[in-house]
Amino acid sequence: MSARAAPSRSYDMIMKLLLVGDSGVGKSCLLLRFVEDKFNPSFITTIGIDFKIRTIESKGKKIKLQVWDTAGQERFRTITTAYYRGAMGIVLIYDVTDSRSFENVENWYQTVTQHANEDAQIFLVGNKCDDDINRQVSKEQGEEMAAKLGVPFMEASAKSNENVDSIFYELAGIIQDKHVDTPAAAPAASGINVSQGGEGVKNNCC
Amino acid sequence: MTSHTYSNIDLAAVLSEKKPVLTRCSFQKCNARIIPVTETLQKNIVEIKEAPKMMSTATDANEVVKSSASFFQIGDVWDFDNIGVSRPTEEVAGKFSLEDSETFINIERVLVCSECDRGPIGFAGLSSTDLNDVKNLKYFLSCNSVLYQSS
Repeated sequence: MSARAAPSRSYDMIMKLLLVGDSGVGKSCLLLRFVEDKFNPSFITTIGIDFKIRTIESKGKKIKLQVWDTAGQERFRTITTAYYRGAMGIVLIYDVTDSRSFENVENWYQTVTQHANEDAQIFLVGNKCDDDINRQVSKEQGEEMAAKLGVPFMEASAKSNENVDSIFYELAGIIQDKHVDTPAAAPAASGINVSQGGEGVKNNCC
Repeated sequence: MTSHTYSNIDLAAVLSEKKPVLTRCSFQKCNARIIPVTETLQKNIVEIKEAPKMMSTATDANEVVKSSASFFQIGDVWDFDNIGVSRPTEEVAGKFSLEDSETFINIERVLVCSECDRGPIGFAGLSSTDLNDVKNLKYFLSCNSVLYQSS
């Protein structure tokens, strides 16, 4: 597995990322920017998103992320090996208001390490951290679990938009560092070099 | 920078002046970048008869009323800056053939903004000669479903 070189394109690196975790932990919500009176048409929630392309800038490099959402398949444990193939990063999500989803983190970790590439970076995320009233899993418990598994950890809230973008920036940054010595991740030799200013775009929304 | 709808921007003229053109989500509070319009992309505008109904920037944001005929044809999903691709769905199922081509495109997915899920702003399908693999999907972004921004 390696980052795909992009000599003639308007990006420096592409990464395939997966979202995994029990159903109901808010995987899909982490892929939505929180905007007031968010338009959330019923047709797309019914059909479901297969994957999204998102472009971010990290350490002066334009990185395109392809993020795959299991969207319900986990209920039937039908996530196949094909789903994990080529994934460079895996966001393992639990819900801080649902201790059962936290108890399943280790199962998910085992499944992931069984199917994914050896050097795929796993990132543990406790979602819904805005909901203090219903919280069942403390931040410390999350940190302990992450230390035990040897993976980075973050709490986030799709509802309050806390840390949502940070998950993707952090994970992309770690993967970027891993591949920094490989030729595939070297800066694009030609084409549009976004790191030199140009349009001055810093993220996907401005 | 001002935003234009497809009907009030002359893409060929703006691009001939070497000005960059970006397409953005038409939901004002989202405004995510969808794809830069290059000269190549502009030349890849196709007219599709009986296309699935797409969201139009010219009407109320919550209404899907217009059957849009002009689409940017995009072969590589990595050309997008931000896009959401649905699972295969019967809701847009249909097929059409492109000009000068005998092969059909079987429509099977819709495209939405990756940031706010608003849409449909396009669709994706497989050519009748391609294997059924997500990597072979061809993408069609509705010209009337995004806003255009040029400096």
